Amino acid sequence: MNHIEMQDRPGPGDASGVRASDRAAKPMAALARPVAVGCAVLFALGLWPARADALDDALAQLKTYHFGQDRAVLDKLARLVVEARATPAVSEDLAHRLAAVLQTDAAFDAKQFVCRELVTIATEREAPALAGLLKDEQLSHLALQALVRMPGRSVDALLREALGQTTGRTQIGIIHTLGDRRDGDALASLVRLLEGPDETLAAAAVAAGKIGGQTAAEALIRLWASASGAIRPTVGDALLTCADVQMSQGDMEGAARICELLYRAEGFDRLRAAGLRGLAKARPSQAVELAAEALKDEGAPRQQAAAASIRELPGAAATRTFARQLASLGPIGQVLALSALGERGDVAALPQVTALCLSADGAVRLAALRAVGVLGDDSSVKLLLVHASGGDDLEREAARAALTALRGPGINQTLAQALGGGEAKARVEIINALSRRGAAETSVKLRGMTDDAAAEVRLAAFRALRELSPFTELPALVELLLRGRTEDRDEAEKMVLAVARQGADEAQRTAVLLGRLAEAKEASTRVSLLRLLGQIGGGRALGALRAAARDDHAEVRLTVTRSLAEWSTDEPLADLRATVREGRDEQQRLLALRGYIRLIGLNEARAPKDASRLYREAMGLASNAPEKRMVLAGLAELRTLEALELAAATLADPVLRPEAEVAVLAIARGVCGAYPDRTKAVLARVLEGARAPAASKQAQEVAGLLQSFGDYLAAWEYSPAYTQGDAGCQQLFDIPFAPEIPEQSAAVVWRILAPSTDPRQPWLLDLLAALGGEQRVAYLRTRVWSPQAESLILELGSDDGIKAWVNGRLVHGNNAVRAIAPAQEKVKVALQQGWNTLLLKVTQNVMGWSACARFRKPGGEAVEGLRAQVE
Amino acid sequence: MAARARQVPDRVSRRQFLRRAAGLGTAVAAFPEFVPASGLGRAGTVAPNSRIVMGCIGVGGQGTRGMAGGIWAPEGGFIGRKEIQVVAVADANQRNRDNAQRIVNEKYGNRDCASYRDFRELLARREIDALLVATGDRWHPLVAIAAAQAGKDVYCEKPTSVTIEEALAVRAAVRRYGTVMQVGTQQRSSYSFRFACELVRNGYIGDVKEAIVAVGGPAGIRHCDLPGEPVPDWLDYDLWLGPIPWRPFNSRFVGGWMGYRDCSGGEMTNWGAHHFDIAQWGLGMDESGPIEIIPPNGKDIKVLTYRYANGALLTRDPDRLMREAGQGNGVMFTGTKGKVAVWRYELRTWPEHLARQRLGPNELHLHECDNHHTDFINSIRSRSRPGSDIGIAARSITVCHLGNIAYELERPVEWDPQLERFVNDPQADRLFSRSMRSPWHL
Repeated sequence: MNHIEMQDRPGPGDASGVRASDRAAKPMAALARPVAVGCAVLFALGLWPARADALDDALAQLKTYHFGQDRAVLDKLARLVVEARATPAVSEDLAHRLAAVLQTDAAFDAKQFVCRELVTIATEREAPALAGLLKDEQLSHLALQALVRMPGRSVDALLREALGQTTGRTQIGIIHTLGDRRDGDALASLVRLLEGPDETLAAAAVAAGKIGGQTAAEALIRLWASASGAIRPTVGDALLTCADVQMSQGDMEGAARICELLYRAEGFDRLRAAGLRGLAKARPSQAVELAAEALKDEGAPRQQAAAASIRELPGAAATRTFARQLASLGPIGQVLALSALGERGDVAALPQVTALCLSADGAVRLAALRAVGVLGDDSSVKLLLVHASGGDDLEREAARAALTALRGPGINQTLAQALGGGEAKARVEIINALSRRGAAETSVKLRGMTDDAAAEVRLAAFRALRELSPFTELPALVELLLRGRTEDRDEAEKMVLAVARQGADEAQRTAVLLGRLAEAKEASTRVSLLRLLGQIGGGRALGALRAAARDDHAEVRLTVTRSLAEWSTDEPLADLRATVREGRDEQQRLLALRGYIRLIGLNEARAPKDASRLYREAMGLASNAPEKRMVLAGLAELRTLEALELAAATLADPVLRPEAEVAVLAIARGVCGAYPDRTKAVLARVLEGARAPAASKQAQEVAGLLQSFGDYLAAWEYSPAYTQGDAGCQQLFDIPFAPEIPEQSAAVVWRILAPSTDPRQPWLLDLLAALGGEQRVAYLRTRVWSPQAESLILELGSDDGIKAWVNGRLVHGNNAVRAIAPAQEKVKVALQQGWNTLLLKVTQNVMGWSACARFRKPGGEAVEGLRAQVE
Repeated sequence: MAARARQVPDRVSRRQFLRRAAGLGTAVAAFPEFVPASGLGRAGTVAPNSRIVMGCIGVGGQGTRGMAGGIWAPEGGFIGRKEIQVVAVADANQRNRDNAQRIVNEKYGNRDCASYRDFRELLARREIDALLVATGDRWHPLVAIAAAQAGKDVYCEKPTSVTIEEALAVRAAVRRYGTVMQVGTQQRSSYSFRFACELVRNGYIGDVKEAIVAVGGPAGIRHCDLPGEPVPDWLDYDLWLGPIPWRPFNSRFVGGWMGYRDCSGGEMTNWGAHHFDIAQWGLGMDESGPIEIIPPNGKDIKVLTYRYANGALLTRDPDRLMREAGQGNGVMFTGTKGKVAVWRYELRTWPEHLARQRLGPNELHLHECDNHHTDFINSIRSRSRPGSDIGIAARSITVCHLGNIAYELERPVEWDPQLERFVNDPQADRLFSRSMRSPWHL
């Protein structure tokens, strides 16, 4: 092959199909310039280090560089390479100086760095230095990385020369590089290597295929005929690559010969299929005929390849051919062809596709129904409705999807007209299809269906209206609800609720309902409207509920209590407490108590001590064991010492003991780091009288957790998360928030931080688990008691950035975005004798958010006598 | 390594095929019970109950999650699906493969799962129809191409490749052999991402002016300079390295490969594979790409900017997304009439009511699936292209690589999305591909 032939192949550095060595002739002309000019130019341009010897120093340092050493010299040189690229003379000079390092006894680590940097700036002038590494098993690859896309015929020559001087893996690397460079002059050598050992032969075949051309094709065809065993698929693949090259060069017949050879290859069905696809491209006039023939080969890969052709081959004639063939195909072919015809999207195939919806074969029917969904029109509606309301589950599902997907201006109208008669299940299918299709224009018709004699039709209509109705139709829908049948009320309420929620604000959302409530005479009407208002929420709705709390009808009062118990905020806490105390109706009282407990836990902003007080109060309101169990269930979510004590107090009650154990263990798991001594005492009580083995096991696990902290500080409280406007985590790092502002810090609500749930990281202070979120910041605080004044090392880790204050003095800050590891920073700090405060500020970018901390002696030893405690 | 020659015609029985095509495979049969047969035109045996027989290559963190469920993987993973039978795992890391083998055996209550150090041995198993590939990024192209040559369908975690050339080579191999390849850009199987793109593509925000992607940039990724350590006995280090340059073992290199340039394109290809993919989807550029890529220059160009032939812009601008949508990791489209922002778990629109818009059947509907694994399985059955088909994924990851190349060269580059080549830029061409360490090659 000569270089003219190769111009149709993208080669190294070649974006347009023109060989890089030719196109790069202009830059290469720079080589003719005296090198000495380089430095002068560089100085003149101000692009070179202020002193030329600074570069020499850097290169001298580089020669002795080893992995693990300070990488400053690497960064410096890499920066120079980036800057040099803009100016050819600078780039050439720097490349030359770097390449010179390769010819010294510099360390492997340094040479690897040089090769990487040369990838973008090396020229033919540096090629010999790089080629000198080709025999080096470890560096050969890096040299090839720099050479593979370097323009220049001398590069090819160097690679060909090295081919004869290497063996094994290094030679194989060079073979592939010659292939990647599309070096036609290497073909003779590569053809000789086709007689070598299998691994070399395979590489040479792949490279020859990439280079392509007549010589390569003939050599590979000969090899295909003679090769055996595992190597043949590789040769076949190389032939297909070669055929692609032929096609890109316009030699369609040459490519077709190769593809036909493989298409006829018995015993290699996958290659046959690939050959078919190649043949269709090389001989487009035969493509439809070939695909039609292959489609008949039931179950063979080439049948799949033919189906792919159905998707790709253009023209109405092709559609007609494949559609006509459908009926005569085997079931596998029919399924493949139907799927492909659907994707082809030519409606000309609709009659034949529709016919197969009645196939005796279930899989064929399914594929046909799916294709009708894509190709169908008004005329398909009736057929699809039959399948949607009959047949097996899969068939119904396929028909429904097809009904949803049908395109055309009259489909919705056709469906709506069909609502006038037929079986109830068909009407349900129509309504559901209209809903899925978003056919809002049929809502009047659908409202009429809420009065259908069949319950399933009415329910389907309510559901459809829920999906389709705009807010403006709310009054009409409320009317439907209030006039409707009692048995449909749940579904009708869901409809009204969904549409009411479309209102722009609370006033809009509640206005219609409040208006109807004011004039409602029937208790059942008031119940329905109050239930809806309860779910919509807001001040107006709450006012209406409170007003109805004294309604004459018990059912209305019960509805009010239920709605308040399920309120989305803790606003009705006092209402519910009053209802419990009043105790007028037992069912109502129980609902109120349950709601009261729920609302205590609902307010995440409530200070833990206030929550503890409310739970204590709830325990007092509970009049029997089931009610106390409810309180324990809520209490178990709290993480305070008071909660632990309150739950522990119920351990003595044999009736409550199982629930008490669960609550105690849940709380203990959360507060054990903060209150280790008290937790141990409570755990001992659990272990003494535990009834369930699981409780003992969990108690032992919590006790074990207490031992796992080592000398990491485990007693911590965390603040709320803070954000400010659009500030990202690295901006938040420098913005002070309440915990670090003395005059505001007293108002901060602190919570106990539960220990990590990751047994591999017991030291982890997991703010993500506690607070979640992204682009925010939070604080952690603890107190540390030191037996004496002492200088220590505070070892910190964080995800992401961290600041630390000891006794109110800022001792460290690192505005990092990173993953956590222990002791990422070691900060020298002075602890005073007695109690010391430690405050951490930790920023959160995305994903993990955590910190860890411990004190160590300056020599790294553990510190005796320290203990941490929350405030 | 060359695939073994097949002496048995790769045919599928009618019964097997039709059961699969109809999705009936879950309904029958005791398990496990294998008899030799051939499936869907690929070499190998298939369970008589028409389960899809799967092998898992690369079973570290993400591989195990994809196989058995966990964060960022459909619930239960492939192993939790009745249509799938995992029969083998492969990993150069013995700890990983032992763990994965144990999980599979515990799931099925037997000891049948095979374990291989070298993925090529797994590929040689004729009865395996499909693969979950969750190796390191550097291995994705090689395994995917070898799988296509062996006639196996592939679910491959993102990103598809470390270079543009590798992605295009995978696409070529998959097309040549007619296999199915779904890339793990699972946001394509998420309602909110699909709906956001449908709003954009159907004109609900007017003419699209810009897509803004919020992902990490190239900072923090570099060539490894860690000192050498003894190679542990549980790792085949040479195989682990595979196509990348040899360097001494270091546990932090192996454990944190995503931070090193030989192994990864950093966040630009990690999260970028997801969010740039959505940007391409929303811009309607699944079969195209940008024509110019301009890195920030500290002057008039503040952020990485892509320009498309139709005038649309694509920028990497996490600060802007945070400022305008309150989210630092996602995608936002801006148009003449509104905006759509989308990220995991949430979609926001301006005006707000767009979020409640229902699309009619006569509007453009994008590929719909709500489970990325299901979508892959459906494609295995129908032989149609999945939502994250390699053709789409190759285009998306090209956008990511183009950004990295512009960042690296610190100057604009021009790209021909039709030829998929740089425009007259020999320097950028040198970053289009990279040599693989012998004997590995594309």
